Amino acid sequence: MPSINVLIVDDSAVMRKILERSLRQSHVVIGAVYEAADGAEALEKLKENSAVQVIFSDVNMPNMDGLEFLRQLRALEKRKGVPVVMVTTEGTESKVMEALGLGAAGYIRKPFTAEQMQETLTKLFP
Amino acid sequence: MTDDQLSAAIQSATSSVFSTLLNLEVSAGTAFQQTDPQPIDGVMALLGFTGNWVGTGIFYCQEKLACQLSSTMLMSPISEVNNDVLDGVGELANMIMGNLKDSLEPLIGGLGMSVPTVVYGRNFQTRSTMHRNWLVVHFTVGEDTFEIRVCLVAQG
Repeated sequence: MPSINVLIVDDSAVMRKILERSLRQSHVVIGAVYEAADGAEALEKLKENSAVQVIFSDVNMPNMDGLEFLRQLRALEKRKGVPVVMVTTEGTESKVMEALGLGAAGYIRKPFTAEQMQETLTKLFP
Repeated sequence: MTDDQLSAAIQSATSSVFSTLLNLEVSAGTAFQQTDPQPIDGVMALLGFTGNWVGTGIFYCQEKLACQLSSTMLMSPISEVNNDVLDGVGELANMIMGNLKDSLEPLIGGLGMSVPTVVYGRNFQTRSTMHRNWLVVHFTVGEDTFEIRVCLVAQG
């Protein structure tokens, strides 16, 4: 299986490390992992980097939150098809529906188990 | 919302996060009300709530436990408070308060939540300008203790 390049968007450096570790422990071969601390930084990284194949993004972030990031990503012609999985502490139905309505490919609630991460990745990369 | 409902939600959210994220079991003491606390030492993460109810949620522990929890999160030994510890405690508080928020919303309506602010130091004191009591729950994990402190007030 070819490796998958990932962009992790979270204002917590610790959470970015936990997510990367969890991804590397999954069945998917992870290639390069890029990081951004908020939605605005993530958009800049995506404009200059076409290697990203999947994005894991927090929702509640300063500067530009995950939902606004999702909105603006969909307006980026060349990158709008990249699947985005929202990873957040907020699991309320309204937030989930809003993210899915904006085109999120999935939704994981923090803290997540290895099984939940595995299940999400299997849907994206069977 | 009653104190019993809030206390149960705090205990459930905290136990769930510690179990899933850190694989640690916690035991909760009896919840009690307290005015603004006396000066303390350690690491504290604060998050604000907004909506029909407004207030603050706090996670507080001593620096030794903060280092241990962050070490477990990162699977890497940490012996003194550094940016990873402050970030780790902030994220832990973020998850607990996010879970608490989800539990409370069916009772009190939608809530917005801030990003966490983390304070580390000695002999510092917190004060809520709402002039209401905090609901405090002490938890034990291994040989250490930490506390969750929440003050939520209905608007209007």
